[in-house]
Amino acid sequence: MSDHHHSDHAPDNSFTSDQDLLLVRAVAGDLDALDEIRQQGAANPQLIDELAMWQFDELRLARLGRQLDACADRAEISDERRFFGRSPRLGWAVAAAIAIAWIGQAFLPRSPEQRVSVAGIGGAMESADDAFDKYIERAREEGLVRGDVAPPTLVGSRELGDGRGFEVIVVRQIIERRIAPEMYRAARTGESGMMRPKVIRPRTDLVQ
Amino acid sequence: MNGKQQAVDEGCASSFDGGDVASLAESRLFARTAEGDRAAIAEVWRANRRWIAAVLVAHAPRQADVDDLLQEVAATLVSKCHHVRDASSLRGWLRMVAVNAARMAARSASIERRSLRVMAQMKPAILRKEPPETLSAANEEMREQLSRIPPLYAEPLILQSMRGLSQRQIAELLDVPETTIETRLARARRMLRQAVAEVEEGRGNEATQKIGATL
Repeated sequence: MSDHHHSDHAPDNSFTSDQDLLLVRAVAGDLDALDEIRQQGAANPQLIDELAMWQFDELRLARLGRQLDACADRAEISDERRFFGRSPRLGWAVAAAIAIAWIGQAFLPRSPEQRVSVAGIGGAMESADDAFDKYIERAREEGLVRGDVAPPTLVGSRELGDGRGFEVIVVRQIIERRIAPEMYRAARTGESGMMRPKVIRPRTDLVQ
Repeated sequence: MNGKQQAVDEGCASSFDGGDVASLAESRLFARTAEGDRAAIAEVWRANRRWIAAVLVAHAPRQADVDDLLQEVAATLVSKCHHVRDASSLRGWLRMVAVNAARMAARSASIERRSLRVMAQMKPAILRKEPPETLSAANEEMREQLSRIPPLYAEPLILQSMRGLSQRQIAELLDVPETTIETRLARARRMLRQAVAEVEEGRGNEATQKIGATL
């Protein structure tokens, strides 16, 4: 179905006969339209046949609709377990659940046995995760990191296929605060009007 | 399903009627939803999920799993409902979320088909697909015939016939004039007739071939 691309607001220039419009109203239960078809049907029995077929389609659609309703009623938001980990396949829900579990593990304090020393960096930096944790802690003390570090955002996941587990790709965001002695803005200079960086220095009168 | 929930589900078509009382109740519910009230979000979901399923059927490829797509729309409702400006734009927003989810599924299906074609040249055995687990044969055939109708026409037809929405309600949801909806419905029903005729003609040819083979 989606192979066809149509805009909702595209003009509908295709020809539609008055007879089809009458049948649409009749199938929707418009009594006047049904009367009209009965009258016209005396001279044109094919119209009555057509109505019967359209009503048959309506019944089949309604039957599919009942099955679809049952399907929709199974999709429940209030049931957290179902909502976050329902699909038997490796879809988004499973990926999200894996990511949540992984993220939970990643933020657990690691035991000394799990720490791997990196030569030349010193005992304080045992692994990349430890280094990251230490950076956050130190940066907070120095006022470089503002607020809490947002939980990682899941970008994607895939099963590794060799039984080792899943590869989970996440984005970690850190809001940093830095002091810059000067900044630059693009400005047109000279007759050529070429864009060049122009230094902006802080106003000293504010300091006084 | 409890009685209250069933009442919400069954009333989802009537919830389109924008009377003052309904609008006031909807506005209050929306305000709670925007604040992230989990119960309110669940209530909004229950009141709208059936017509959302209908929109998904109109726009998604036939092989797409409506269950999965519904979960995607529900997830977006939970995580992004605070982006919706007001109660009156909620349904339009939900419809766009559903249409986008269905189109993504169509793209994925297209990529999957291409991948399967490549894989078929290497390992034909992995091409065996599991049969659909939910739809009965008659409904499967109906969905196949619907899939031959472009979504522009299929959507109003499905919303009217499966969800019982009036032409005015469909026009409001799709934000197009009512007369346009009537024209699209007529076109959709004519296309459906044609699709049925093609299937029946195909069966007739098949039967003729079988008879020919036995003679």
